[in-house]
Amino acid sequence: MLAAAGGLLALAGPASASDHGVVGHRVTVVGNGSSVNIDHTTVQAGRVSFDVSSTNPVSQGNGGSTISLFRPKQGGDAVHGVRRPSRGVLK
Amino acid sequence: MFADLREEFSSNPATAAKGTRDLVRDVSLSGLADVVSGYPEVVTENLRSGTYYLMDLAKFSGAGQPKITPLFVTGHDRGSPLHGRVPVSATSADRFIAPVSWPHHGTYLFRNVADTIHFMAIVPVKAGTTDKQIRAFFDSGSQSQPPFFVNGPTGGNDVVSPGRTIAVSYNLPRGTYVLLCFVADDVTGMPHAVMGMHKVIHLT
Repeated sequence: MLAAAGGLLALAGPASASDHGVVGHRVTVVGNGSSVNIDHTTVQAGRVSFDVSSTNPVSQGNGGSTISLFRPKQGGDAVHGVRRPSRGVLK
Repeated sequence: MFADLREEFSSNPATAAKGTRDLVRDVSLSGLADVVSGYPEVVTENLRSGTYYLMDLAKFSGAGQPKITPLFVTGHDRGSPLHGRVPVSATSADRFIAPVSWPHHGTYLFRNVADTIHFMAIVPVKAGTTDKQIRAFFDSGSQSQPPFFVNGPTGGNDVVSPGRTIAVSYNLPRGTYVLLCFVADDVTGMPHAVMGMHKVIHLT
């Protein structure tokens, strides 16, 4: 896993540019079949709701989105190349 | 993580079984959802602070690495109990424990009470389809399209780690559906559905 995590920087896709601050407990998630867009990059801990939808058309039974949310058990905050926003941004 | 994922997608049962075991060991998986266009879902769960990642595996074949999007969770709130009208448990015996009749829109509470990872696809099937017919199809070893599948929107949740619970709000057409999990068994490497993890339900 750690070896694989080394490539995460290049893989990490951008969130929507609409908002990069902390939101309460709701995140909009849109998948296109191969990547995910979210409307906020930071959310407060606790109960969180995700509004999940797909723009990937279905053809002959294939399509839609299979969206996973995960966290590495070791070094969850130490995945190479992905840094938390500064506290000034979080407020 | 991605090495585990590639193994889990392997067509070699022993490799797939190892992939499942390694994913259980290395990653905390929290859903989210399996959705199609026009049929969104709302997934609610309790998250502690830390860095999480999202990815869409619909087009992932098991080769290369999927694109990921980070999500930063901050603060100390530990959440509160989740609620859902329809209780669903995914068990270590590779079974779904769930009611036969569900509202066609509402919220189900998915609990992974197993010692391995599970997901739950909600797939439309022909009216009158039984679990006995589905079992017979899987036992046949057929690689063709199951004769009981019908066109229509699907739903459900993606992979959830042992001990985790998520609430999923859905809205699907009324009809007959089957709950399926295709995670590779952590010993045999066979998909859980082939080992019996299927359950016919009716959305009314």
